[in-house]
Amino acid sequence: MIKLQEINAGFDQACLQGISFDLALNQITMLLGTNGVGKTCLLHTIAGVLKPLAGKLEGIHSQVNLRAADLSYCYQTPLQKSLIRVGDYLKLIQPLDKARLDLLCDLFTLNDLLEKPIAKLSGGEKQRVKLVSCLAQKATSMILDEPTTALDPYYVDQLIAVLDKLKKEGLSFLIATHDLSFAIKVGDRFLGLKESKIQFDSNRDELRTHHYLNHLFNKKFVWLENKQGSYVLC
Amino acid sequence: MLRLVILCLTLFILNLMFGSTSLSVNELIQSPVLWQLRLPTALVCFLSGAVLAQSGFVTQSLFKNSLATPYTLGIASFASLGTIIGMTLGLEWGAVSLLSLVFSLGSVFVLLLAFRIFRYDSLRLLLLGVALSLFSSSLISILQVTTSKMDLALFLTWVMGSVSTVGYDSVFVLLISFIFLMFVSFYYIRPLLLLTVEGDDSYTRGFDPVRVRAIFLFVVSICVGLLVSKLGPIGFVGLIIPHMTMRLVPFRGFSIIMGNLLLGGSFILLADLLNRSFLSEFGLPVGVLITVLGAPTFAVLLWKKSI
Repeated sequence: MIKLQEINAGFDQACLQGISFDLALNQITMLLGTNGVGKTCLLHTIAGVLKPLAGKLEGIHSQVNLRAADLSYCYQTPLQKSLIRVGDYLKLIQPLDKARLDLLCDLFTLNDLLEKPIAKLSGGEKQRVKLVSCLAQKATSMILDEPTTALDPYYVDQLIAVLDKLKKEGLSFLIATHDLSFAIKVGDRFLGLKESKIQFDSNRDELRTHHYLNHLFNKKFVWLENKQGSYVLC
Repeated sequence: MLRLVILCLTLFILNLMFGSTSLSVNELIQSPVLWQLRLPTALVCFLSGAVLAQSGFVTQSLFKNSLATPYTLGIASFASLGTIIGMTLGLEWGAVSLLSLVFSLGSVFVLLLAFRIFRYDSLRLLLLGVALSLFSSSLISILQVTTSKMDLALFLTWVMGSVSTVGYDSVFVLLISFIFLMFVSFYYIRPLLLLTVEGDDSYTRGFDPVRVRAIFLFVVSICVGLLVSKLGPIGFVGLIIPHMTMRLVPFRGFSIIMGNLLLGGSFILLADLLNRSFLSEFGLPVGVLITVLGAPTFAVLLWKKSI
């Protein structure tokens, strides 16, 4: 289990201070906050791209070659214009869960793209390939930074289904997103970042009843309940 | 792939058979011209082409930029500066090579440090490389004008990139850098290919991108440093061959490395063959012909939107 204790994070100066939480297995944690509040900075710190400026990070192997089994990180930067074909790229993932990769290729309809060079893909196609490459890595925890960017609504639904399935298989997720409808559909736990601190750490019901989102984003949200008992934000 | 092997072998054999003196096959086998002159030259052509092409592929992949080659990054220019200083001081060849190595390693150190300061922005790094190149070229010019010790004819041949004065010691030196580069390329092929696709945030794929980049640049600078001190700065191969390879062979570990070797080797073998068969009376260094062939090829690639 990944555990953060009093972490200060930032590129040069700390943009986040005293961040403590843990990522329980079988749980999807959503990281919410306005632009530039430090979501990516925090994810980078957990993934090892940035070193924590202070505090302790547990549950991730410090050796980079063993870290791949603990954590898979789907970062925000789009895939580069490489001429490598999608199929060959996906074969480079290690440790790879082959059965899961096949399933993901079906769900995100990558089978027709396997022979295409990545440089020739559209933005949404690249995002699908990136998500699959990250989710197919056999790791116990996964960090996704803005996973729904450039995705068609159909694939957002597929993503929600996959996340739900993998969560039940015992994985833990930390997802930073601006897509609040996606967040409340799939998230079990919500962390709100504001003014370099965690402002709230709640489940879905608390998020709704305490109007946390209104404070976080300076906007009045209306929660509409649909027939299936789930909520839509507007 | 098979076609590339045949192309390279054919050019190699043609290189052995043709030259300024025409000999029959029987005469050739018994002649010292073959064993003392043509064979080492052909080997040097192949090895230098292979090393330059693979080095170009490595730097282009590491910095995700088609322009990033040991030449544009300033590594080769610094190696040249080291060599020229050595030549000016009238040092032995071994010491000259060492100086060239020290300078190319120095430039890599500067590049890695700058890349960190630039927050991994390849464009700024390339701009710095251009500045480093121009700086060392101007220092070379100053040295050339102010010292009387240097043999100008030798300098001119060297600065254009020549394979005409080589012997087995060059083959040996190039073979070492070739094996070194191949070993590291095959060993780190998965990180290298992943780095062509993923950003510098890929810290959870089982390798450290910063470390892999440092190792590769270190190896490339050693290879290029040795090569430059022996043959002079031969440009263009590292720039265009990787682009051609990527279009001719599948983008997979083994094929891409082999493609670079074969195509890079073939390119310099061809340039040297043309040079010795048709232009032998002028005694042109092969580097000139490489650029003459390379520049239009590059323009055609650009025209066809392959880059």
